Amino acid sequence: MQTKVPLSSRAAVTVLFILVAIYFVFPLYWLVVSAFKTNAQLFQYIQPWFPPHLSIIKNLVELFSYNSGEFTRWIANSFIYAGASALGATLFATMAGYSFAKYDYPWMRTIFWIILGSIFVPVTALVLPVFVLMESLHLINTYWGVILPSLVSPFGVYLTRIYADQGVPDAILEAARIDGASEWTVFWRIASRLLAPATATVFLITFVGTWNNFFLPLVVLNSSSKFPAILGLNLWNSLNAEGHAKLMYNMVITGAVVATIPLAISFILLQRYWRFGLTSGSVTG
Amino acid sequence: MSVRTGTDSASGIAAQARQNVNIKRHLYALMFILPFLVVFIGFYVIPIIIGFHLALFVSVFGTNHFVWFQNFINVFTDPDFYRGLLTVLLFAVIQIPFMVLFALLIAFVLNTRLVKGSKIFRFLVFLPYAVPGVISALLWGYLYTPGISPIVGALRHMGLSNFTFLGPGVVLISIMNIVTWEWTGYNSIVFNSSLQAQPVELDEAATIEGATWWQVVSRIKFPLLLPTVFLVLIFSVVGSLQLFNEPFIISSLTSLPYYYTPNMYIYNEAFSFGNLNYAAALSFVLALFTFLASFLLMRYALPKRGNS
Repeated sequence: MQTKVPLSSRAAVTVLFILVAIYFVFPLYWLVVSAFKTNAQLFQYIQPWFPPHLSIIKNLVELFSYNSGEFTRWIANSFIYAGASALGATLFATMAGYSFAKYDYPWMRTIFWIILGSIFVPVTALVLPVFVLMESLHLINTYWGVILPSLVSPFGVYLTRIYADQGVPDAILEAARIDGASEWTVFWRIASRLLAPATATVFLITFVGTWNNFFLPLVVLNSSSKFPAILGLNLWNSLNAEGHAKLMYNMVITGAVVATIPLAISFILLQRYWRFGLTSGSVTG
Repeated sequence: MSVRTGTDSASGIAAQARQNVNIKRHLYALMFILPFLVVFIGFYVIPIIIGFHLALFVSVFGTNHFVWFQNFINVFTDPDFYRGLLTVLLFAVIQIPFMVLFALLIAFVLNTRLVKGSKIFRFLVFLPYAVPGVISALLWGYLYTPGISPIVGALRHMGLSNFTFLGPGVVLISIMNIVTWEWTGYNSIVFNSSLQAQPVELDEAATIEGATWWQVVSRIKFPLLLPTVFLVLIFSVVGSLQLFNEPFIISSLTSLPYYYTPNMYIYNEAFSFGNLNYAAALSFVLALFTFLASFLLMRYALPKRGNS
């Protein structure tokens, strides 16, 4: 398609867009460059380029070994929280979304609408009551305290439902039933395969959601050995700001890069699933 | 016996079998949603009930007294709550229109291929969304801190020696900038995917008829995009009312009041001052306002279906 736009305004738009790109990329560029600097260099060479002697290895060693490797533990915790939550949430949401799409009995519709409505309940409004619930279940400061509430993904149910409506033809399911397959087999052998793109998207969304979650672990966890990476970095940063600990800007910065890498990789590798999650969000309008 | 009764009982058995299959299907339908329902009720519905119950009490020296709706009445007359609410409303009124226009601009330019290399550009714009919100806040926090930030350094070098991103009047704008940086790319991709789903015949026809870029965008593409724009608006309003991570992180760099946003007030009330009952009431009222805001937007601002 060729729209009528004069060359001069095309050039202007291009320049504008380069500035826009710089706005979005510069902070990340600064973060990566800063991970190559020592604490002293962060303040001496504030220019956003690489310092004379690169200290990335030294920073990484310090990051992963400081305080008997607490950051290593935080990253492992993040994988545990995000992995377990995403696995459970995806399984539950896929089964439920499939059921809502393919059985569709009148009594189910009310339940579905309640679930859909809950997408609009601000999650932070739940954090405090969840804290009280976890306290009465003695799950404060445990892995379960973070994982159990993260198993609920109403958006995942919705996403799977709209995908199953189109992506899983009734005829295939009916053919399998005539061949004598049970409902259980129909789901696991046939439907689950057809649902794979939706499942991958739900997994990705719940994994990243839990990895990035701050408010819930902040409230539920109180010993730093249980912290996920995000919470740990916040702890270091506030110690830093209060001047309690030794200066560790370099470690917070290097840690921030390390804690972002798994997500960045998932975005690059799984772009098509992300786009699916995004478009299904916009289709609802 | 005649053949007739035989077929009658056979169809009776068939009906019975169909009924069995039907009951079985209902049971399977239930079984598939059951695991989700259990966690949904356990960690969504029950907390809401617990929170409401909690909000009906006050705790005096460790014993709970039932006070009906006194906590809610107190919230509605609490100036600190309104100060926080005012902050997030101010935030929403300025940041959301700016971000949405910014995202629309990017989406339209990408969609109508006004610039070359739009694939790389789309990737770069989307990149901040891949960064955890707390890390974005930490990162920008450093870029706001004199001594370590090249931006503050450059501004001071240019003669603005007293310039600060973290002063009382400026800090809200600095927080707006963090949120804009995080979400503009995401929203522009949402707009872009919605634009790609639009029929191409319309704007091809318009272009052949001699319509300019701006006419195609403003008369054809934008009206078709409106439902998506409103959806983004609603989610942004909900997000603004819940603002927590960014001001919470920034509050370690500069002093912000404990009630700076409603969620910071809730957190501090519960965990700095130990008043869970009042914090629960605050949570409820905030959820109520959020619901109200999204309901009003949906009711009155959303374009009616069929008009577009």
